Amino acid sequence: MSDLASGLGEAWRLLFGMDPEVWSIVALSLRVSLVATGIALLLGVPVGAILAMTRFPGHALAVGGIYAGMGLPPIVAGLIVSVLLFRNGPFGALGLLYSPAAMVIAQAFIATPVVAALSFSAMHALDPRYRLQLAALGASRLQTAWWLLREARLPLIAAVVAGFGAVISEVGAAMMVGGNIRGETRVLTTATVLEVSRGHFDVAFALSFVLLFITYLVTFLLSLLQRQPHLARR
Amino acid sequence: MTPPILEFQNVQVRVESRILLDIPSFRLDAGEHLSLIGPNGSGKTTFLHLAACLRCTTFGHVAFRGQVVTTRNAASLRCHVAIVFQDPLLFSVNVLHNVAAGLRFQGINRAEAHHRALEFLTLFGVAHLANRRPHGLSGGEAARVALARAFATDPDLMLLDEPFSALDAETRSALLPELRERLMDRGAAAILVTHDSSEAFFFAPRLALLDAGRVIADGDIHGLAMHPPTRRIAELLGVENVISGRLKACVNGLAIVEIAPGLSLHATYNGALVPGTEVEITVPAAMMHLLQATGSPPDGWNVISGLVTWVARQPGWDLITLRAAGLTIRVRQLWTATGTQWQEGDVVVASFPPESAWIIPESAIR
Repeated sequence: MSDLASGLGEAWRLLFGMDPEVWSIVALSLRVSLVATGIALLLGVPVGAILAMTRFPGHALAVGGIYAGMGLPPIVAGLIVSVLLFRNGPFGALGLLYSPAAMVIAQAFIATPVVAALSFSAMHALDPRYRLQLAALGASRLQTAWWLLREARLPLIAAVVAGFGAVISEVGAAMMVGGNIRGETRVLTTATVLEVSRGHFDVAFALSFVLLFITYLVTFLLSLLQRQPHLARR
Repeated sequence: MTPPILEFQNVQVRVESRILLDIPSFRLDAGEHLSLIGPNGSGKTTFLHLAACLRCTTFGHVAFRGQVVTTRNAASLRCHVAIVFQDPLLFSVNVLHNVAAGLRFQGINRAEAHHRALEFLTLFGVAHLANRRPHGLSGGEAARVALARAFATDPDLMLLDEPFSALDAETRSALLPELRERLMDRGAAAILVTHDSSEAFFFAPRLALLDAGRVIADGDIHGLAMHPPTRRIAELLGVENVISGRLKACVNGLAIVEIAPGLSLHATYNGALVPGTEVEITVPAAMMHLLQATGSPPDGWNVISGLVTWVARQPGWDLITLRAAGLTIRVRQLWTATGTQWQEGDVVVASFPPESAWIIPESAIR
């Protein structure tokens, strides 16, 4: 209990005491997670839309695949990305391992199935007559997809929130591909693990509170978009 | 010769072994209006989707202005067709963008599309809603916006899938004449799918009846209602009186049918009838006249005496139910200036001319 209380105090001191190391960790955590979420958005939404709008042999397997991907253990994602980026791996020449770029790749790998599956679900839940109405109005496939995505934007925002939540709180892959290098690849989750292993529970609590606060702040801002009355559908 | 705006030739739509639609031939000319009615599951929606080039046939072909619809040309032909669904299905952009959507899809620039969209919003009396989002509109306003959107693309064929069925009676009765007027102004052909036979009667002089995927009747609405070829058609058109009896004879072009011991009716018919067979007589309730028990109908009219069991008030008229010779007879009577004339318990005479009674032969009863 005393660790929790001192952790709160420490969190206050770290955040508002302008500790440069903490702020660089916070900034890197946000940068990596937001870029990874952005990549997941760019990849996952079109995949979800294509699965919702088309039928092809193996469609059910593909849908099953992205749903299974939602449960992908981060450590497995980290392992796969590590193997790919190892010096003697297929992309070893890029020299990305133990860099923020490697962490972004691993986290995008984790978030993309989450965004894709939730986008598919959002598009699939739309009244199918919207698609017919668009076709009857003469919309092309691309125009139909764009208008349907606009109709599904509320659940799509939820998909983005879920993708961001999956990566900001992730530790296994970040540790494996980033290496938790001080000043380079240390993020809030990996720093927390390190402080626990050192027995600095108050600092670990402080970092956790900061992580919770940032997660809440970003998801709150995204959820504000959902509350815009003009976004509500009739 | 101008090709019809829409033509079906030996069309079949199947899903696995189930036949959704089976129409050997159908045509709709440019500017022609048609009401299409049928029970749930009769294939009305499939019919409209084919007409809108939104789905393909399993066999046969659909032609639009003489051009056979294929998967390759469906998208370009669709630009000449508009469809309005039961729900307005407005997109979550403002009303102006909704109405301009079809024009933008056709490649018309934004300024021109918005200008034309505003014209059509004005035409349907909802220009003041141009900047509103759909979620704040009433049902009637949303229906007007959906109509403006459909008209904005200046279609040659308008397909209306029960567009007013979710609206209250007042809004519906205001919108239907307005829709007809706009269609006449534009010269667009139109098909109105409806469950409401009064709406069908109001909308077009031509009526098609769809049942179990087949067009079982297609023709002049008055002719079908007065001379229904089969019992099923009479039922679907809502002909109120279908009286069973046995054909006694055919004399001077009229069939004489015994409907109860000692009670015979005269009716018109078509084709050859076999005396002694079971037949049915259809009489629209509006063709019946009620008289006091002591009154005398014109010579040659059919007469049935009975007791009024129920007077159902309607705006401007009453639907009166009689029990007569073991039968239930329904009569429509317009209100008079002094109010309704009849009430439950009255002993009356229902009479009607033989020309308003029509024989359905035994072979067409089931």
